[in-house]
Amino acid sequence: MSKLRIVFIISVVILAVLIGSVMLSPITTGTKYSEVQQEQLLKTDKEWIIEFKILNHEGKSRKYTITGLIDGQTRQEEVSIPNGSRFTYIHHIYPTQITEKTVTFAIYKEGEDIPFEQITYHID
Amino acid sequence: MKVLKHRRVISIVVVLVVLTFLVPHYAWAAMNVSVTRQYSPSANAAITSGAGDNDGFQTTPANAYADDTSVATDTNSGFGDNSVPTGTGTDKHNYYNFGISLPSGSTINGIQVRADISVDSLTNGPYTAIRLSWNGGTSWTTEKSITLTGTAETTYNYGNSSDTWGRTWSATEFTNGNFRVQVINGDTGNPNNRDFSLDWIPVSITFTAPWDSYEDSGRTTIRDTFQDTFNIVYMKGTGYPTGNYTVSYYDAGANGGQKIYTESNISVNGSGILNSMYNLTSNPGATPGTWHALVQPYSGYTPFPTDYDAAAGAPDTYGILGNDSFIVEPSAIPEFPTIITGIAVAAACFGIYYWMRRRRLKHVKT
Repeated sequence: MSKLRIVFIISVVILAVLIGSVMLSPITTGTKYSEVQQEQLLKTDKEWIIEFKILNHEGKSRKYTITGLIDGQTRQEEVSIPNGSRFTYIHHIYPTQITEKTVTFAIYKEGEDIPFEQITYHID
Repeated sequence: MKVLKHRRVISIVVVLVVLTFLVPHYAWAAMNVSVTRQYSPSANAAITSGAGDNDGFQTTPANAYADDTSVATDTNSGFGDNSVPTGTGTDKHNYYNFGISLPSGSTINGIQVRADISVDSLTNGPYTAIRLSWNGGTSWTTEKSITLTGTAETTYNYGNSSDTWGRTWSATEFTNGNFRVQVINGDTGNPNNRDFSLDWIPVSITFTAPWDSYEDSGRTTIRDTFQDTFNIVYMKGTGYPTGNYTVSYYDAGANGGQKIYTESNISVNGSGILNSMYNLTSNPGATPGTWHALVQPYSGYTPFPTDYDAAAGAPDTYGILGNDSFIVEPSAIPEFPTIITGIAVAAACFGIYYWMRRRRLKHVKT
């Protein structure tokens, strides 16, 4: 087999792998679901930072409600996430501004009463 | 000849490819977006000397705080010659404490005062004039006067979103201690027996907040276009009143863009600096194009909605205090470089193959 042919075959294989990985990766997940990813609680000198991402793999655009219970006060935020996309949420907590040390975030899908994810942090 | 034709075709293809990439970029516009907010007064005072019969809207003047069915009334307005708005014959009434709190350094693009007025008769050409003060009533702009056109309640607008009433305003001139709206009633005849009713006197401020996107974490270089080499948006606002704020980012998706990121409860201290950042590689599903970053107070307003159009269309509902747009090119979002890499590798493979094939053919011919 000539060098030319070997180079050509290798090129085609690399190309096929690249195109395959790009085109197929979004649909290889199979099941339809939503998930909360990369939950983080960061502490700095002055504050706590809560971060998480909501991923939509439901096969269609979906609406979600983020409900935060912070120091006895409820805060709600609506988000709409296209299929295959994600929403990032960051909340800053300042110890000097809160008396209760528990912070809870619950994430609901539209039309559902039970959160599909609930995160509680005890800040001290 | 054949070679020349070949080159011409290649040149045209290259130009078309370049244009394909450039045209969408020109179509996207990045800029600091102006915001119009409407405020209602919560205090009033009649001018009691040298102002007609010196009682302004003498009956329930606080009824002009809201758009409802109750009105403030100026009965038998004026004294003597009240044809000149700023003369001593016209009734005058100040409305203030609008609760306006804008980032200092905001550019004031325009001021509009709305007055919902009715009058008992159009005889003698009744008019209502408005003027503004920026220092608690010491100095006033030139008044704007409108002759009333109907006895029934009618909305009259004084100024507009690009009218600064003949002066350059600063954000601090809208504080409760400084900003005043004076309502002046008059007509062109005697005796002075016109009855004016004022239902609502809100003021709309159109401003551009000092809120911009930067390319560096030190926030020294403003950047309006982000791509693979600049894929983190560093936002910075200056002159924000001490307090806590929420920033939401909208991509270029449906309905003006979808909210893809919220940074909530950012504290601003005495420095007035509001910082936020977003890593464009964190959401491969985001839509490139013109993005927006909006600012609102952390509490007291409805959290930003899912669609940009809904947010921008109701700035008072969401308490918008900053709106910056910037361009996110497809290369800033991670899936796109992968595709480009694939295409580049494919092109390189084809090029190598073509080159080697030509070399081989040349070799066979010789």
